[in-house]
Amino acid sequence: MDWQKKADEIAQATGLPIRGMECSNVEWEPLLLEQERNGWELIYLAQNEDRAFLFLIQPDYWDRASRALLELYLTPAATSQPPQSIAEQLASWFQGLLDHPGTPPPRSVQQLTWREKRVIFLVERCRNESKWTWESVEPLLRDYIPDIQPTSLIIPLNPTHLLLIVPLSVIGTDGREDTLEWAYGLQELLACEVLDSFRVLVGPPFSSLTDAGRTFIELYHLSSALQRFRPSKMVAASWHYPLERWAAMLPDAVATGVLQAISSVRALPALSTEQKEALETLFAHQLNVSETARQLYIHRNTLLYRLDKITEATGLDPRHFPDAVLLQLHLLFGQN
Amino acid sequence: MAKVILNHVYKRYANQVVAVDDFHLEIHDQEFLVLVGPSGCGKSTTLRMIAGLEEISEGELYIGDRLVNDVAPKDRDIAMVFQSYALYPHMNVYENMAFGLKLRKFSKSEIEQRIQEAARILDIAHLLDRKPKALSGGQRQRVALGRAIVREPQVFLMDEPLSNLDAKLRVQMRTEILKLHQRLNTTVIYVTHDQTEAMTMGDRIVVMKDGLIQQVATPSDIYNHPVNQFVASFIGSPSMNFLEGNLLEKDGHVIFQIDAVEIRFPEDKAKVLRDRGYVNKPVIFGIRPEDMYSEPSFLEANPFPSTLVAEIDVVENMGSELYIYFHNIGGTQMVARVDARDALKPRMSIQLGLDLSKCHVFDRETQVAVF
Repeated sequence: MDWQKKADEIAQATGLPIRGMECSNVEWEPLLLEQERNGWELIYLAQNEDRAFLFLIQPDYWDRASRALLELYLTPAATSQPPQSIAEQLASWFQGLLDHPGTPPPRSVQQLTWREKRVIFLVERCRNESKWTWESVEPLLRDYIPDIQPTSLIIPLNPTHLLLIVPLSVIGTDGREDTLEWAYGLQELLACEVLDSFRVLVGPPFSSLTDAGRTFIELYHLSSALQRFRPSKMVAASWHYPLERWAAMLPDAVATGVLQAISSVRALPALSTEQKEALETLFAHQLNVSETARQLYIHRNTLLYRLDKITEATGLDPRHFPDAVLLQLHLLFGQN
Repeated sequence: MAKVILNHVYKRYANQVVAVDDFHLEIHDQEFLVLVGPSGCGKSTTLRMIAGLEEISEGELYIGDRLVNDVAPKDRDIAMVFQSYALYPHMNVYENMAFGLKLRKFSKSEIEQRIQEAARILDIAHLLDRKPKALSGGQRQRVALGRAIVREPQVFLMDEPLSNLDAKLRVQMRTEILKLHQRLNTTVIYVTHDQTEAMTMGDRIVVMKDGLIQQVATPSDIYNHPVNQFVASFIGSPSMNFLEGNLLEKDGHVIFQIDAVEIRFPEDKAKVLRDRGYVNKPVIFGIRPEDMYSEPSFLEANPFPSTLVAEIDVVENMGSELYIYFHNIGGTQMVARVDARDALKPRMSIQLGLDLSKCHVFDRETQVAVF
């Protein structure tokens, strides 16, 4: 599209002040500011991959009818570009939610009503130096997910994150175990077939786009929390790690203050890896000793012995709730 | 099947942390090599560099005769088996194993043939129609292995594949993996922090610490001839006992002295210590728990000064043997593994004979083994 030629044609036909300016995609905003200071107004912005073209008018010369005609004239040119796919529109919306959480879904995708519930997976690549793109991974996901089209959506958000929205019927039931099992399967698929490091996070089933947006934000925050506090956890669900999510959202100064406050209550010695593992498993299982022992594949008495040793070393009994909270906070803030 | 060569390989991170420092090793074709060491020693980073999951900061990596530094992970002809044994939940066992082959456009007959062969090797032929939910932990782990096997890669990379299994299953799968290696005759590089796994599985073991290779040797060499105190302490359970004391020349004998205890070295070891100038110097004396004996026959054959008198703190009965813990020699916690027929109790004193043909001495400053 020759935008300059178009601007010249309009100026010639109407005799009204209109200006076409071309620049690179990163320069158009400062250029527009400068032109606005000189009394020009942007009537239309045309963009391609790397260039931008600004249609500017002197607003005093253009009455309402002329402006409407001008907009009508320029709009077909705009729509002659390939329309954004639903995935692209959703990607822009999801990305925008991180800065403006309440933004409603774009009108063009609001008609996306689903009769059955969906499940959302946030896939995160953990290695920035790898050279592949999400585009190359999409065929793998399409082969993997049964009945991928048109009921499932693969939405690359940016080079690091990809969203996968699949109908609940693909997963099975809406039980947490099933969705988590799927997350593990996806992580394994990507790790084995792309041979790279991925984190896969999953949320509860939802039936509206607004809920999808809310779940996405939760998963995004969970991802930040895991990067900081549990970098080795590669699969998790939005209902996991509430304390880590809370801690990750604290400003650094507040987190430092929390650590100082905890240390002032009691100075704790460094714990061994085995002790930390026992505590973290105990906390993950709501202080249930038998379940923790089962998870750690050790006898209940062995676990009790280890917990006694921790009490001996720290003066805090991890089976006692207030002490457990203090130990958990100490582990969380002390090691990060 | 292929050899793997790591030629002076380094991994440095942006914060100047050196995770792997001058790793230089040729892993032989069909070898089962185990990388072992404590958390943060660089073993997983090394494996991930071989897989292509971490970039190599410096050095060269060859798989077969091909330099693969810049080859994408999926093009390196490797298969990786991870800690988790997650399967694809909506596919049955057959489909789980076939999926990777279908992606690579193998013919149906080839897929069928490879899966049947892998199923036979892993003894899971009767499970091929089952969904993952209907499998036990051990069966899932076998299917996960099967998925790697059917690809027939040049090299298997295994990153702590057994650490998520319970103790009994871990022992069972250890044997299964070894049998598998014997049948497949493929190069396997296996990472573990478990020294028992390392000792029982590896043709050779690489012990790592702080990003550096400490020792590369067969399991028996690592156990019997550790090159430094770290390797000596890391391999063996219970760990080797260490005593810090001085070497003296007394009445024509070389003596290790700690407090009032004197241990006289046999002449062949005394000669080494003299020749290397360790007499009248502080050293670390090392002896494994099983090289201390309470049996009268041993004590009669090895009279003073190769004995210690232990005042027992704790006795652990392991069924066939007893572990006795004591700390009356220089205040150092020590453990001896003795015959379970001895009726030993805490607060008893017991004379222990030391098999000095198997003792170790380490330089106090460098912790390097003298022998």
